[in-house]
Amino acid sequence: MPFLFIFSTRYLYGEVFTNSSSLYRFVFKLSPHLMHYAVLVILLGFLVSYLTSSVYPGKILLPNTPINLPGSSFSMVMKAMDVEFYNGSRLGFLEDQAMEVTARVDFRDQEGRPLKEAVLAVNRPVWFQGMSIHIKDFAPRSKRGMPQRDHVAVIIKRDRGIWLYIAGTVLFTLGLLMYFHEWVRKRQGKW
Amino acid sequence: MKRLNRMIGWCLPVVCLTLLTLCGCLQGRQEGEGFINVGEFTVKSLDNGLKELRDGQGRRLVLVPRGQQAPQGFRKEEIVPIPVRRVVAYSTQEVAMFRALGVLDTLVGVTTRKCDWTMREVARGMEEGRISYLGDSTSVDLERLKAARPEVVFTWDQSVVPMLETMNIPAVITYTGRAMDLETRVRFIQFLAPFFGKEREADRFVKTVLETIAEIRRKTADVKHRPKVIWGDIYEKRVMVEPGNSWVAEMIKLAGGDYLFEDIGGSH
Repeated sequence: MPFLFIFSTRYLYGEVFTNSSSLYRFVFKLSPHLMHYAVLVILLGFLVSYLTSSVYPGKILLPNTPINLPGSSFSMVMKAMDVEFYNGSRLGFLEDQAMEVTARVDFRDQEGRPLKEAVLAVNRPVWFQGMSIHIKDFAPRSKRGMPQRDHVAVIIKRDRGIWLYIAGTVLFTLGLLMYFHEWVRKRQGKW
Repeated sequence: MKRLNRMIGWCLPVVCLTLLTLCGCLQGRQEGEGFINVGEFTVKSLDNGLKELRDGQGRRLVLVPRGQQAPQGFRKEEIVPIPVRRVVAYSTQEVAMFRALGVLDTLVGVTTRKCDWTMREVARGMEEGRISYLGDSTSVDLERLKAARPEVVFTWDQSVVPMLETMNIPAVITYTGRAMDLETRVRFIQFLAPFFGKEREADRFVKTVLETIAEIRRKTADVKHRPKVIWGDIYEKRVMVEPGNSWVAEMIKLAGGDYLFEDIGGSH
C-alpha cells in the first residue's frame, strides 16, 4: 500500500514538484498544523453538539401508529417491521433468537402526505430534515419467552456538530497525506 | 515564512485551551448541586422546585409542583404534577418502595393479581376497589387503566408508551438495558421519591439499608465455606440466570455464596 501511494504521488505530482518552489514546500510544511487544526475542528464539533444538539432517546414505533418528530411538524409511521430469527442449528443458544430487524418507515407532513419512505435497520440510520433516526431496541427479540407487543424503539437526533466532525476528519486525512508526501520528498532528497 | 509557521504553531495550544476551558465551564454550569444519578436514572433540580428526570430509557420528564406553571418545551405527557396523587405501577418492586416511602395510598392500579400480593395493604386496597387489577403486564387493559385516572404510570414495558401518550398520561420506564447492582437497586427509591415529595424519607431509607448491607458484608467477609450458587428462572424450557452485575448476584455474595455467573454481565 505505501508503495502504491508513493508511486501514485510521484506519478501525479512528481513533475510539478521537481522544481518545487519555496511556497509549495511551505504549504506542505503546514501539514502538522493542519492535522492539529483538524482535531480542533472535531473538538469544536463536540462543542456545537453539546450546545445545540437534541437527542430524543425513547421514541417508540408501533406498526401503523404515527409519532411526531420532535421539534418539527413532520410525523413518522412504521408501515411494517421484519424480524429475522436465527434458523441454523450449530449455535443452540441462538435458536429462535432475533438476528436482524428492519422497519419500513414513512415520513409525512402536517397534512399526512407521504414525503419519504425509508428502511431503518440496526447500524443503518435514516436521515430526514437534518434529523437522524437510529434503532435502539426492538421486540420481539425471541420467538419464545415473554410475549411483547411488536415495536421498535428509536433514538432521534438533531446534531449539527456532525458536519464539523466530518470536516475535521477530512482535514486530518488531508494533513496526513500532505505530511506523508513531504516525508517522501525529504527521503528522496528532493526537498 | 519560518516565523509565520512558528506563529501558527503557537496559536494552536491557545485555541485548544480556550475551547477546552469553554467546554469545562459549560459542563460545570450544568452539573452542579441538585443532581442525582441512580444508575441510568437521573434527577436534576431546576428553579422554583421543578425537577427534570431521565428514566431508564433516557426519556425526559419534568416534575412541576401543583399550581405552578409548567416550563416551555415539554409536551403534556412529559409533565407530572407533584406530589403525585394517583399512580399505576407494573412492577411489585416499585410498590415495595412506595410502601417504604409511605405513599401506598396513591397506588390505583397494578398488574399483579390480588392472590399474588404479599403486601396486605395492596390486597386490601384491591378488595376495597381502591386499587384496580389492570390485567397481565404484557397485555394491560387500557380501558381499565384509563378508568383508574393515574397521573403517572411506572412501567417496564416501553411499547405501552405511545398508547399512554395518546391519553396524555406520563410514563416512566423503569427498565434499563443493564441490570441494576445492589446499591442502584436500593437507591432507586431516591429516583421515585421526588414524585411524592419524599426525598428525606428516601435518603433515610437508603442510609439504613446501606448500613445494614455494610454490616452484613463485614460479618460474611471471613466466611471460609462459600457454597456455589446460581439464581435463575425456568421459563418456556429455558433457564434465564441473573448476571454477575445484578443485585441478586451481589446479595448471594453478601450472604457468603459463590455466584457461578459472576463473570457474565447483562440485563436482568
